[in-house]
Amino acid sequence: MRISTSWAQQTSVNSILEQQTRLNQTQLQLSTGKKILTPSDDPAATARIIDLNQGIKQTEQYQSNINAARQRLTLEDGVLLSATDVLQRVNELGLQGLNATSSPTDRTAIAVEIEELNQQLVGLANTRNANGEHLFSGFKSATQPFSKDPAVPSTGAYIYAGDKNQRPIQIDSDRQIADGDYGSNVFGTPTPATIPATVLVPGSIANVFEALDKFAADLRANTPNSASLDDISKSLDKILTVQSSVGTRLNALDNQEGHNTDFVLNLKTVLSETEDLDYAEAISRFNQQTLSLQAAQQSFAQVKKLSLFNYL
Amino acid sequence: MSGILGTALSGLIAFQRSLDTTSHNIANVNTDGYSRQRAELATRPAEFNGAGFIGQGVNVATISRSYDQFVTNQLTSSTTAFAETRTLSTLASQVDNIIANEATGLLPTLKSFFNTVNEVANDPSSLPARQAVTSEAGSLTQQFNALSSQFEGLRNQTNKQLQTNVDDINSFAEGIAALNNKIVTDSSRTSGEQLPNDLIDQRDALVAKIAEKISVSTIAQQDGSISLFVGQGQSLVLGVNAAKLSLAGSSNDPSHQNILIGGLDITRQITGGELSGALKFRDEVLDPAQQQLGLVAAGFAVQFNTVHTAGFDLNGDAGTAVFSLGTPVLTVPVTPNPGNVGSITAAYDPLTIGQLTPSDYELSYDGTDYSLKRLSDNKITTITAGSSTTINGPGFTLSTSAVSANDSFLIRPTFDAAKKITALITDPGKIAAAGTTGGSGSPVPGDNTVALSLADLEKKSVLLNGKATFNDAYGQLVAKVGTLTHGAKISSSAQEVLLNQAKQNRENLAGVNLDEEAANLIKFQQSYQAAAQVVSVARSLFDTLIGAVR
Repeated sequence: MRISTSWAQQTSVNSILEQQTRLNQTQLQLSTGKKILTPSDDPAATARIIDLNQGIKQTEQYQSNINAARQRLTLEDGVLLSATDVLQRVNELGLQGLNATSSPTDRTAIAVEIEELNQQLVGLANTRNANGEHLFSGFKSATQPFSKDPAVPSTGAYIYAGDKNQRPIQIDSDRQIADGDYGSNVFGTPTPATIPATVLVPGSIANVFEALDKFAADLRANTPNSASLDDISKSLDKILTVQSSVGTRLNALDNQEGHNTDFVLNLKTVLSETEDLDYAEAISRFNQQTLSLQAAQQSFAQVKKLSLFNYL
Repeated sequence: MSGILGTALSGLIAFQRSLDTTSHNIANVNTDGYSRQRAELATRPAEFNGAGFIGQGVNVATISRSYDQFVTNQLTSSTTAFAETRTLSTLASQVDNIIANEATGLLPTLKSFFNTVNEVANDPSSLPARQAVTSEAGSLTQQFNALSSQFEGLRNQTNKQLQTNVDDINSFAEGIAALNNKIVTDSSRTSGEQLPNDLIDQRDALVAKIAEKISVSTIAQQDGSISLFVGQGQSLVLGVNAAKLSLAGSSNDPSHQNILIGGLDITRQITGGELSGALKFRDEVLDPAQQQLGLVAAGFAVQFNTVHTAGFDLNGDAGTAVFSLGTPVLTVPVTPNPGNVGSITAAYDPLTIGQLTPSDYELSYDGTDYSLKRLSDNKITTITAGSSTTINGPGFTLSTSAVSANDSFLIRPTFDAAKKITALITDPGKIAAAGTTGGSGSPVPGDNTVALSLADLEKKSVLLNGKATFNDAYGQLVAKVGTLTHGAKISSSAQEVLLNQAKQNRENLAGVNLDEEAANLIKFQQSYQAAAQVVSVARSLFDTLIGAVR
């Protein structure tokens, strides 16, 4: 068989070029740390990588949602804790005020303090979060939930300006959790404005502010009604119930967060197995390819020296 | 003695010719397409005298070249096949690189956009969170536009490549016709007995160059010329005449180039070479990729708008469209046939947008029924419209006006959608996150129900008949282009092996081996020296004779 001189040269050059291409591919893999550089390297794995990345980022978004919900629920929890403290103090004062030994002066002083505490409680019910949103207005978060009814300022009636919605936050692909509670559920629905506040009957006042105002008014008038304590304890129960629900939700957030963390870790492990380079394997491949390239170059130089013309 | 001298002289001449040929071979060792030549020697006719036939020396019968039709044909067809797959793989790699790249792909931007929507769902009254949605909506549409213009750029590049290929083919064909002319003239001077080897080599080299561009079949003619045929037997070169290939934009899309020869469209019959590679890239990779990207863009815009317009913004007003695909926002581009009498308009249909397919459609009317042809697979749906002027397509509706028989329209719901999508809302207050309102001016700022539904769109299978999320549909595009590119790369490297084998076969037969030529050089030099020695012997014989009679 005869070989054409220029083709022999071309073949050697081709093999050097091919070795270089392989070396370059390995080098790119080493420098990026990825074994798949473009989708065509492994179309099936690329499709998997897209899904995995989507899953990871989606779950990370849920984690961020969980943080938002936790921040608000923690704030609410704090507010509710303060509210229960206030009510417990009102309860103590109420017991003093109802005590038969209390003088009208004592009762007036107690009434003043209860009014003060009620102001504090209304302030708590109108708490805003860092964004300036009211915690207890439902969806109408820009509106202050509780205020004295401006129509009848003297009667002590309150109005609730929020709505009865709880904002759901997505914490998993099919799980939502409410990031708050609406005011009428926590502090009781105020008496409808059509009924004058004067007909409020202690023991059946649903709204805590109205109940306290009524109790304070009765104390001032030296006619405290022991049924007011029932109002206070019912309100306290209501707040405690909400507080325990907030605690449950905070727990659920923690659980979901843990679950999501595990899930992301899992996905990331699979992702890493799919797309990350096995460095040990790649480095040994790199060395082997370097060697092959050197061999191709050396053999080219050697063979090029051989020619009959050298001896003419 | 004159016999000795004559014979020696014939040897001198023959070996000189042989040395000439060897030197020609050495000189052309690096010439592409050169076939090594040799001087074929033959004894001269002997002369009869009483003693018998006395040899009269040597003649150069012909200068032959090493050539084998089969080997050459194999090389031509391998060249064609390799050029096609290499072109396809090179072009497809570009799409492959663009669509999945972290920086240029769609998915990172799509994800960021939905993240901002989620943040609004978490905190619907926050202006910064809403601002983020409006700016990410802008980035997302720009990403769609950028991808689309990258595709557009590739389309222009492909069209330029088609033009260059066609120009090359035309000039090669002219070259072959001119060489045919010379070869026929030259060989007719020797009544066809001697061939102009170097011209034939040149012509073969041109055929190989054409074969790189387009698949040709070659037929040798009696007179020494060759004829070339492309497509299904359309003649490109016939004797000394060359036909011209040309490009023409298709009737309803000037950027879609077809290949014509003598006015006849042969686009679909072109089978190999760079031309076919570029056409395949356009028809099998680029167009489908652009359609699929458009499907994601149109599907996304329409679905998002639909949910958004059901909500209420920070002013308590009903939500408006966030994304636009044209003017009005749901416009589907329609190209009417030039001879049409009536007209139609088309718009995306939010109710059926999930049925949109990544294809163009052709609507035609025969006087009684409409037929809607899906151009990706030529599936025809017949629609009896009756007196209604509304036709429902998959993902869009058509309104007809005075359409008469034989009118036809090209409807492109997905092709340009990624190019046309724009974001409309810049005022963060206009993001409609709420599901309720107290009327204009009385917003419900804490309501996040619509924001939640918008965020939920990300993981809902709302495209391709409820089978794909936006992410899935784009993922399909990545996987499809990846698979095609992968296939093209594999067949390109397989064809390269075959091509190299064919090249090696040809080179082994026709290429110059310098060692062989060196050996020949020594051989012919020695023969020449020997023949010269014979002249010297003849002279001394003559001297002897002269001396004898002196």
